Amino acid sequence: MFRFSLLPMQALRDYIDRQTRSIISDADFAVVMAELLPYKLQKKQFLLRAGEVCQYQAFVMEGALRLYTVDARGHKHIHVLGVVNMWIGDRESWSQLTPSPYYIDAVEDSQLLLINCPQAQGLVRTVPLVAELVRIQDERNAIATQQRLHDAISCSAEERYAAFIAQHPTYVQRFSQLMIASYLGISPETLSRIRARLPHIAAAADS
Amino acid sequence: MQAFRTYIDAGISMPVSDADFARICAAFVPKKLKKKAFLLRAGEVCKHFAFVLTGALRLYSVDEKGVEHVLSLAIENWWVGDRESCVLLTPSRYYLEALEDASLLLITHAHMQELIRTVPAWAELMRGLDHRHEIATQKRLQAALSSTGEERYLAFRAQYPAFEQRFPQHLIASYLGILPETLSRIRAKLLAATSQAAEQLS
Repeated sequence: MFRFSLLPMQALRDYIDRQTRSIISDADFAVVMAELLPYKLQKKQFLLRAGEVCQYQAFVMEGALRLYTVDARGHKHIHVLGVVNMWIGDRESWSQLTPSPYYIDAVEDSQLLLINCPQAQGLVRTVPLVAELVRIQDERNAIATQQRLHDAISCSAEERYAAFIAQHPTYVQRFSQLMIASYLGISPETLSRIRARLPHIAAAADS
Repeated sequence: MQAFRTYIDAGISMPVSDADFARICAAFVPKKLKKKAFLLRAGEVCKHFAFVLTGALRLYSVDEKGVEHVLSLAIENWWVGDRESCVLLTPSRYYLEALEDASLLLITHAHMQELIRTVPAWAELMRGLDHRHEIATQKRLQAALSSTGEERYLAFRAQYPAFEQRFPQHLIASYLGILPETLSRIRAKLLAATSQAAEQLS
């Protein structure tokens, strides 16, 4: 574990203010910071391995991570791609302390802020603005997951790729084609075929 | 309303007070929906989120080929609605239809936020609900993206044992994102395996 001395804490503050549409007081921000553990992860290092309990949710200050499972045939299935200002972790394992089926590793060198479940619950109780932040975050997550689920059960691979590019235009530069195919639940060959068939979308994504 | 109160108490650390329960009830509007009636149609804004007291409903979309895709199935003590449309006030892509006569409690997003702000017990209930909902939806999403039809059906049966009796097979197939024919085949195969195992035991 590497502690880092100088963190761009203003970025976290801006994130909280923007999400909650208010201004966190210095006192409240100090309470929040006291609970967060700064953590550096180098590319390819793991934050979590299958079978372990997910001790922390990680807030991404810098870098990129992925959360995935490995099936019986050894295939990776990417469930979450995490970039700046996103939380990544296995919520079920984190709150229930059950062994996780997931791996989380860094796709780029990353700077994280970690929090465990009792600490997060404590903050929700003591800092009303954190309770509001969690509520808003949960709402946004619920909407995003509902959209993704809708697309997964009712859209073609081509439609899903087009929606993905529209929603996350920067992801194509940060994550490999292989990872994006896995995230969309399609084979890499299918993704190549779609990109060949939709050159304007592929070009817009690559530019 | 006792059932609703029991439901609330089961999700929070301390039983809800009479005063808080009265405030909660005041934020909801009761609504009866007959079988096959709609609470929401595609193109409308989903003004209310619904808590199901009795009955069964489905939330579904219809694609350009006319195929229906079931996003949610709901029975007693479930919440159902288009969260996206309800929060962002955008036109919904979904239909919400009663599959049995249903008795609902409806709440607008504004009233929901007001309750969360003013009744801490309600905020606690909603936090727990959002947390569990996110875990369940993520699992379903991953199953849809990376599991076989058979794995999805087995997981569905294990997680929602009551659903199989309440909903017809073609809706369950749609909910799982598989063809009705595929679900029939999976069920026949599982049944054959079960009876074979029973024969070997006898």
